[in-house]
Amino acid sequence: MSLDPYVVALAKLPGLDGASRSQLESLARGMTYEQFNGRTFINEGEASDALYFLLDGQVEVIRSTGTGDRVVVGLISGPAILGFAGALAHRERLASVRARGHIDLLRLSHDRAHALLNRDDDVSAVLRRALMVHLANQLARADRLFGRLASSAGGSELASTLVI
Amino acid sequence: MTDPQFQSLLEGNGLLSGLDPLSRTALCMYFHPADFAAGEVLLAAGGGGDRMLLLLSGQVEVRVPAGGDTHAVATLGPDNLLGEVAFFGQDQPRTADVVALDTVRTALLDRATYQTMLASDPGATETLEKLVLDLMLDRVAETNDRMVELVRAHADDPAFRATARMLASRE
Repeated sequence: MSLDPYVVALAKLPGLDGASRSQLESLARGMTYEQFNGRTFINEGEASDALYFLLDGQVEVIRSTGTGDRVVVGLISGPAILGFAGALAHRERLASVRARGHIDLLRLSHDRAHALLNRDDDVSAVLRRALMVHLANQLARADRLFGRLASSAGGSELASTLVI
Repeated sequence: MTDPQFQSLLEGNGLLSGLDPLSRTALCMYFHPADFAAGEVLLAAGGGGDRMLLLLSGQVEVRVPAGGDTHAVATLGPDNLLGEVAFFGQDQPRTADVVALDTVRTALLDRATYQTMLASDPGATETLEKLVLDLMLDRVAETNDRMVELVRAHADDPAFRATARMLASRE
């Protein structure tokens, strides 16, 4: 099967836009293509066994409140990497993720991601840098969100939860 | 010219303690000293990610601008990395001011030096990036935990939920 569509899609991801074709092919070779329509494909509380490269579409990030209620705490549009923090730390999923309509994904298993990251080559470096960009972007978004919540709620309690 | 006290502080910094001595020494070559007096701004909110700093001694305060005001959200001491989010993120301006509370000594890595490292020293680059990746993973986990606490604490507040939903969708 041709890797062309995956390589083209991966090249659009922040952090992978400077990678060579052969590097992207090496990355794509270890992934599986999946698509969902309105379905929850990451479930809060489950073991993090993979990370996802969202190629196209939009997902909702949903948290339970502890009282049985569920709150949409984020919307993420492709291209983006999902579920990488849990997958790399191998901790349980802290939120559920549901497709908003149709989405296209590439799935990279936890074991494969670790194997790639522990290799001593340029593909490992490319994946590491892409993850760093996404982690940094996610942290920046979280900081801005906490800051705005603090501002809109006007409370120091909210401000004190901000992670810089 | 080498500053022995700076080298000693840098190589003894807790964030680098997990590295093997050779890797640590190789990485430290790329940092240079940057000192700040009390009240000086180390990093400014809204600025670009042209540098990151390893805090070696002294205390800093992190101040976040919000709603026309500034909130002090953390006081940090040695063994903290500053500015790595804007440094490694794409088009992510700094979200906070970092201000020296007393005399502060840091180890600074600027963008140009990092580019030199990228081009010529894959070993030091890998050491640095793995270190920062691990720190970021810890911070994301901590951020997620705090977000969970926040949602839980304010779950019954319709105004909070509406605000959170609106802000999340704007991102």
